[in-house]
Amino acid sequence: MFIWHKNDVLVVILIYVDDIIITSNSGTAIHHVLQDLHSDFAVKELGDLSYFLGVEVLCSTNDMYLTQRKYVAELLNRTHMAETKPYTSPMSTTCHVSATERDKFSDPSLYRQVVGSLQHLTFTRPILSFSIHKVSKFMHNPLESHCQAVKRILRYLKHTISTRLFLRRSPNSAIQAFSDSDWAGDRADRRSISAYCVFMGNNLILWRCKQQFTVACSSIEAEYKSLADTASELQWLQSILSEIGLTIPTPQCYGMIILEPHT
Amino acid sequence: MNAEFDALLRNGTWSLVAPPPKANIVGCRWIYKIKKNVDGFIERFKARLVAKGFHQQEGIDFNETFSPVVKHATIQIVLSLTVSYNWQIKQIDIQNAFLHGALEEEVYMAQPQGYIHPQYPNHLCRLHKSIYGLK
Repeated sequence: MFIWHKNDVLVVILIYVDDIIITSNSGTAIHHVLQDLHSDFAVKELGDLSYFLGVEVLCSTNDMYLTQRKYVAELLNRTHMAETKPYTSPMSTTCHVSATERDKFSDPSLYRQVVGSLQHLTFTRPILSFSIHKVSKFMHNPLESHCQAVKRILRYLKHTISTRLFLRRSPNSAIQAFSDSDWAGDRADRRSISAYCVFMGNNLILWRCKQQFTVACSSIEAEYKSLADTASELQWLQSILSEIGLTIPTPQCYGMIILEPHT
Repeated sequence: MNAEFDALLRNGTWSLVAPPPKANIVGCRWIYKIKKNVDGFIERFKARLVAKGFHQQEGIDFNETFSPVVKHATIQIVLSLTVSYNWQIKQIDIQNAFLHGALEEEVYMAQPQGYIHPQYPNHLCRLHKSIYGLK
């Protein structure tokens, strides 16, 4: 990411190898940048943002939709799951994927390919973070049961193929973060899983689901660890926003402490 | 094929030099591709010169590999700001982006098949710019 700031004009350039997005609060500034680039490279202008890294972008004046419909359709075709029966949830609540069963999946590299493709989908699908995190843990040695979990995700994708992430103009840029964790949900090593999502104004901008490094002895401890992860992410967010030159109110962070005893 | 060769020369990708002693020579070959349009008709034939990057040895002719990749979260943040503040957003594509990379290391490549200089058949191409297949 490159940021150019002068007086009130701001230009932000995002580079993903050879895909480039330029955004600015001034149309003439964009024009100047493009002209400068033209003098050094063979540049093809693709106009307003519409398709970036497999994500379709639908813009109107006050809002923006991000969707990976094409990407999902291709993935379903590639895995021969296009005609499958759709499912309304990505994973069963009683699903316990373990690494200790005997039935190995016959084609580990196919498993890695498909799960790799799924990971790219979390870009517009926060809801898949947890289930994809689960199946990603077995890339080195996929079992038949993991393959079943992946198939379930693909069937859920078939059900939700046109789901879109919605960004709309919001009256303020206040940052709110929500954090949660389970407690010792992994039967193999009993480490807990943290999850958080961060909103800027009305828009969801960051989310993540991640296993904690150490075992928590109580649910409160797991929740605090999750809050700490969230807070460090907010720190990064604040630094990037100040680099862009935006002043925002102090972020607010919410955790969920459950006061019922666990059984 | 001629077009690709001319483009590489125009870009100043390499200069012909006498082979230095003990140089690690990277091979190269032509890759051909038939480009079809949406209806399945042949649109054009494409030739691309690629270096055999697996001949390169770390520390001798490559030190670090680099590709600029932006974090997904950063994209989300910028898109959200774009919508909130009603900024303009444009997308561009750099053609042959990979070939613009300047090389710092000394990389010697064999002359491409079919385009060997008649006067200096034993000379090598000292690469100045990156080429497909290099590390």
